Amino acid sequence: MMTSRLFRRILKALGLGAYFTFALGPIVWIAMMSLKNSNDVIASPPKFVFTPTLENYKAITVGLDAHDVETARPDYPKYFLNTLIIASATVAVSLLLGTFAAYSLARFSFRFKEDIAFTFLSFRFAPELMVILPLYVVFQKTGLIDSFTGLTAAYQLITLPFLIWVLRGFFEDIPREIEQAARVDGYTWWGVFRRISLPLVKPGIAAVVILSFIFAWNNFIFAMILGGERTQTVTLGILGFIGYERVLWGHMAAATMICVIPELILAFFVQNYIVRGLTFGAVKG
Amino acid sequence: MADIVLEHVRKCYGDHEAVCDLNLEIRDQEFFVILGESGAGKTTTLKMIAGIEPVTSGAILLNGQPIQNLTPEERDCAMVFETYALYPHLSVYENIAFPLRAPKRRTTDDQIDQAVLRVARILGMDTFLDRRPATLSGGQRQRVALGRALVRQPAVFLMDEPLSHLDARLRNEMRTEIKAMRESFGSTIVYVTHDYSEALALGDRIAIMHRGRVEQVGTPSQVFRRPQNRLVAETLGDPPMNFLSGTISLDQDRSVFTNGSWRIPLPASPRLRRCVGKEVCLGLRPQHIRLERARPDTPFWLPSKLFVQELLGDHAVASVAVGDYLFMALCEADQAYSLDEPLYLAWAPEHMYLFLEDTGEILLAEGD
Repeated sequence: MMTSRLFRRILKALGLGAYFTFALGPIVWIAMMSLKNSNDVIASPPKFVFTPTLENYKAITVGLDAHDVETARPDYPKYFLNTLIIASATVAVSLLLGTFAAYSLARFSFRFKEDIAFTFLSFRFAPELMVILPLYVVFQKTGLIDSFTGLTAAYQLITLPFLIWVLRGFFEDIPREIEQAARVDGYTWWGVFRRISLPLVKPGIAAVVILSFIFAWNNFIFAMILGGERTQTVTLGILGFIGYERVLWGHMAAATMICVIPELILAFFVQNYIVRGLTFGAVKG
Repeated sequence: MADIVLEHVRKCYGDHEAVCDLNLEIRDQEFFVILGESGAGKTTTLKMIAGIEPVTSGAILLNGQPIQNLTPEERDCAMVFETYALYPHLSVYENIAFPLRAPKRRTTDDQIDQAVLRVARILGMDTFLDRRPATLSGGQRQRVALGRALVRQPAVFLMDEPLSHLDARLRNEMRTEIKAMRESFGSTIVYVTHDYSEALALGDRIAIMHRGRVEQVGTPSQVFRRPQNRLVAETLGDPPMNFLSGTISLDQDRSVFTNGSWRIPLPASPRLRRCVGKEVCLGLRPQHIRLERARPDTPFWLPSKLFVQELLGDHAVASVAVGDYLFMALCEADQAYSLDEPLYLAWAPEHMYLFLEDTGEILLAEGD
């Protein structure tokens, strides 16, 4: 009895340990790289004990080299801002369109409803590369190439179907009778949506907002093909550290660490919301 | 002031006809109960009055005005749902205040506050106003649902099995409370239930529904004592009425109920005489049956054997075998019979019911 319980605990610890190493190992590695100077970073075998330095961060944010001498103005802050604008705009547009689409799919019956829902989903399992060439041609002809509007529109392909499908599930989980009760209580369709349905799917909205934001933030292929110098995003910016004659590993690692920060902050604030079951107790339990 | 009239109301879900040709007249200030088993179309009827379910055809009149095409918010109804349908993200206070906050009602915060506190006091919920529905017990949630309806003065109160999810003790308590609160409603009440005792205890009039049709409308004593057909008689009463099939025959110019060698004389009535030769069934309520060891000196008895006896506190229910039939009878708690004991199942002639076997139509009711 005792031994088998102990055995299970050891097994559990080992399993979790392996998972943590697998999940967090690369992040720890990048974090270490970002704090190494240019010699330590390429040292072989890799150094685990070194004097940490912030020179990489300084170089890519304010443009100071290892000896605090000003160099050319770095582009990274601009890329960061670009990504912030595009990802935020993408999520905002998706949320506005997707919430209504999801509610309609969850609550109203209309012709071709399931076909429309499936079409939305199909955008998700079609590889991005399939649409990128036609999109490129369209964007080039309409002048949307390398524009914030264009990228925000293209990013809808990533975030909108996902948002619609997740929110549809949340709306469907609201007992119909709650909405019916609100109608009888004297509210119009819009009033019920605003006062009852929307607040009840708040956890769902929080979850999709953060996940959509991460998807948009991390996107590479759309930004690479449809973007340009004006709308360069961090994902491409990081690639830019692979130069012609050398690879700036330290800068790359620092850029990656900074790039993770917004996602971390978002996740930290909304993790409480990513708990389903707010509807518990509404109906006889 | 509100009377409701339903005229030829039909409701179909695809091919399934949930409510067929429903005609009801609900009077002003009446406590009207719709009674029926699940799937009888009671809730559908209520939701059609509320406007949640559109009617397939027919008209619903409120004070003579057709309302079947109005949206729920345009009708003046308050509804208590079977599932309570409380708003989980709002406190008890806000749940009760919700109908008053509807833009079209233009109620000031002071008025809302007064109304909510008044209702909360009536329901004994004034100490729970800050709680969320999830933290309340079933009975408390039920009160909140009632409170949400009571807080405004609607023309009609619609209640859909509001007590069905409560345990037996609480159910009786709340039943008494609803009855006592009738004055605070001050409106017409339509109350749906599957519990016949609830219907008899609360209703001014009762409509018995079965498979989308109304079988009978009447006061509690009318439907209980003078059911129009076998179905109504079966619905009201627990344990339900006992039935014995047979035919009506003539014996020396008197009509007699016959089953094999059992012959039970029937009262002289021209109606029964017209039914001579027809298949009928005899109905007896469990509380009207006496089990006797000595052979009664009236002809109103059947031979039986004790099958099971269940003690229910102050009384007992005895199941006795009468030929191939199983009859239930109420008897004294201290009256112990032994298994398979032969007993005479006797009753007073005025407690006999007789129904036509095929249509269920009543031929003879209690007291006839």
